[in-house]
Amino acid sequence: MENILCEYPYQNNEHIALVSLNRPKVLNALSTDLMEELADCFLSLDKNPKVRVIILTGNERAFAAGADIAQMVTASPIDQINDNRFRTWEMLKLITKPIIAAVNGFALGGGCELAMSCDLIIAGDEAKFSQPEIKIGTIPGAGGTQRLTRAIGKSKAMMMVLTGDMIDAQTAYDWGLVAKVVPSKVLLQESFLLAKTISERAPVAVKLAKEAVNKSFEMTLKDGMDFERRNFYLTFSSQDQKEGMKAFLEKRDPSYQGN
Amino acid sequence: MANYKYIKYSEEHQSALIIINRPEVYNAMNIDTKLEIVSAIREANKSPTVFSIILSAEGKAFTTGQDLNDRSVQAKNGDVDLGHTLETEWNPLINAIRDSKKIVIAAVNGVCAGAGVSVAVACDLIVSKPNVKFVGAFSKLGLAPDAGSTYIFSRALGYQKTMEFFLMGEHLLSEDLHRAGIINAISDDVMEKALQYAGAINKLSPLSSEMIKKNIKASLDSSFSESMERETKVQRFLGRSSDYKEGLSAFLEKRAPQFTGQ
Repeated sequence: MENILCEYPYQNNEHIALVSLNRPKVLNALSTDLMEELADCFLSLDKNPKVRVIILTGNERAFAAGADIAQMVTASPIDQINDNRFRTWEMLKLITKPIIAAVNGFALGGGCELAMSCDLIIAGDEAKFSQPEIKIGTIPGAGGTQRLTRAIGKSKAMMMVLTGDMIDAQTAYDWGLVAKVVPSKVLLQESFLLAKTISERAPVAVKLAKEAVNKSFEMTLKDGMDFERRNFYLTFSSQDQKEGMKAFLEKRDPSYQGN
Repeated sequence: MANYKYIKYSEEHQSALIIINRPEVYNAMNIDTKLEIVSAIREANKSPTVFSIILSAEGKAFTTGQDLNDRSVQAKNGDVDLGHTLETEWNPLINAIRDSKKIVIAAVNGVCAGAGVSVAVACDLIVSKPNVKFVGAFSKLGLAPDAGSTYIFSRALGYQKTMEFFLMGEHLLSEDLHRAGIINAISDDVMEKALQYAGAINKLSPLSSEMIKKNIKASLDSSFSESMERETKVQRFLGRSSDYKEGLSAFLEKRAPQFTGQ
């Protein structure tokens, strides 16, 4: 892997993987190669039984400043179809473990869309978000008109998508795009603490809960409620549920095995 | 080091000195003066041997704010967009000072007017010569105060006093602002006083001074519980730093700490 790093940086905690986008010279522009590496990496982390939560981050200056424009400037529609760059984006949806986007610096265009493709976003207070595609004669292509609209509502999404202007972390928080804003220096620390809390919850239930929340974007309320109920029933086939409820009654901390 | 035309930039005793250098126009700021200060603040923030920044000026004035001879602010030729002047010149300057990770000390050597007042009060610490006039000149021109001055003054002086200051356009003296808590110290030799503050700051852990500034600045916009939450996160972070270990051992060993910013 040349364009991303995958580490387990937290001593005594192998449940949390930290994936860093690593093309600092181009503000982590999301080339097709990078996205392929990212999809491969996530798929292998999803299979790794030790890993329970994934943190995706960039660096201090940028989470990711969008697609690789240099790669696209002269592309024809057919080039784009043949490149099929979004196939790797589709694979992100298949990951069953929670992914936290830890955003410092710029999350622009594809970078904002990548953050929104994760399950939740924590932002450093100097982070900036935008969908600037309109400024270079195109529009978002990986969810910027869809996920953003669902996250912050039509009027605000329209403003962002039609002007291409940036919003700061506090605004992103006020609008519901990000779950938390923390001082940029403590971003990884806070992302880790959140990941740790989630990793201490029943892994089977975490996956089923993630799946049910994501389904709420795809289904009617009735279908979503039915889906949720089936996943709820399904948790009762897990050892984790037995252990969780037993530990609660015995007033001790549960010890989950993820089965 | 970059070449500057309207300011002087130097680094000494681990501090960056940014001196506005247009005494012939009482240090009024045209677009380039403002952008040069922004660049100089960035340069100081990048310099590994600088731990604080002093902003002062040549001559009798600190700064008299907007250079009204700058063509962009004159209404003669039809449309003038002062909002644009703020968005592209003044606000970036004020934000550069407020977002500077390194502490910015204003050494106010003389009169401060208009948006020049905003520049002074955007700084983290302010020392001033005695009897310096601070004038919010906006109302006399048919304008309203800008560049963040409504925010700082209303918090420090209260609503009615701030209204009086900006409506009447009469000056306040550095002594008045010292009493109100906006100015930290009055001294005949502002540079020496500023260097004294800087000397103390330069011995601190850079992580600590950066986070102190960030937290206090954020507290002005936050609830009590938000401030506590922020403090907790930051303290958890600082508690893991090498500088804290060093600070603690130095304290126990009764010696001066040697911080590294790690």
